[in-house]
Amino acid sequence: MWVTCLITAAFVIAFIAAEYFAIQQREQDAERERARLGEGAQPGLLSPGFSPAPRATSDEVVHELEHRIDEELRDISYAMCAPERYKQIFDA
Amino acid sequence: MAALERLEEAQLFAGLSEVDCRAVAALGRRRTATPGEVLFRVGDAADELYVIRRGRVELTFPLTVMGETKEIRFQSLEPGRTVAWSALVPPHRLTMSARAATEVELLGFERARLSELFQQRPTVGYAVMAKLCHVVAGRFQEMAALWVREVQRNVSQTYR
Repeated sequence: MWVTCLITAAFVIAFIAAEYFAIQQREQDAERERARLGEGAQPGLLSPGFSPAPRATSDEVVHELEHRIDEELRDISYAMCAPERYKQIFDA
Repeated sequence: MAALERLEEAQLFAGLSEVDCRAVAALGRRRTATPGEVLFRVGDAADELYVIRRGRVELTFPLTVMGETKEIRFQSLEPGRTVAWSALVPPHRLTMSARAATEVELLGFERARLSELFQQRPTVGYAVMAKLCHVVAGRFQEMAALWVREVQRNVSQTYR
């Protein structure tokens, strides 16, 4: 009787442990995939993970956002002024 | 960033004859603002259009950042540029906020008085509204490009 209980408990523990490690593995794979997709892609105006340092204050976020809008508008204005580049106006 | 000396140097009134410019100038009302002063807010009624005479004006839009409402600068405009174009386009609601980035001097033109002038001098009305189309179209193209680029990036990142 004790042996049966022990074996059952061992199976249950092994099953839970296997599930736990499987979930962890899936999360790591997903994380790696997200990182891979992010590589080389142009970041959005404030994409999560883009900012080089964690933004401590809302003022820093505003500063970052304004800086990025300035860069975008400069590029867009340039494309709008040059007919040969006009098609690139919507290129991200 | 030179100050605007003559009205015909302004984006909106370029190409008008001297006589027409004088007629428009007679309607202008001088307004000044100190750095950081809010000139108008998005959503407010737009009864007056402005031409920047001196200083720099920033167009902004409100955004909630970490629970705080912040004004985000969209664009800085220099002397000669037009702000509050919504005053001449229904439904006459401002589409952005504006604040003075420096000491600013503006020339304000009330819609009612401009409309009256346009009725008396249709050629002036046509010329000014044609220039206004450039202003609005330019702003629209910039906003559209910004938006499409942002959507493109999000789609590229999400559905690769």
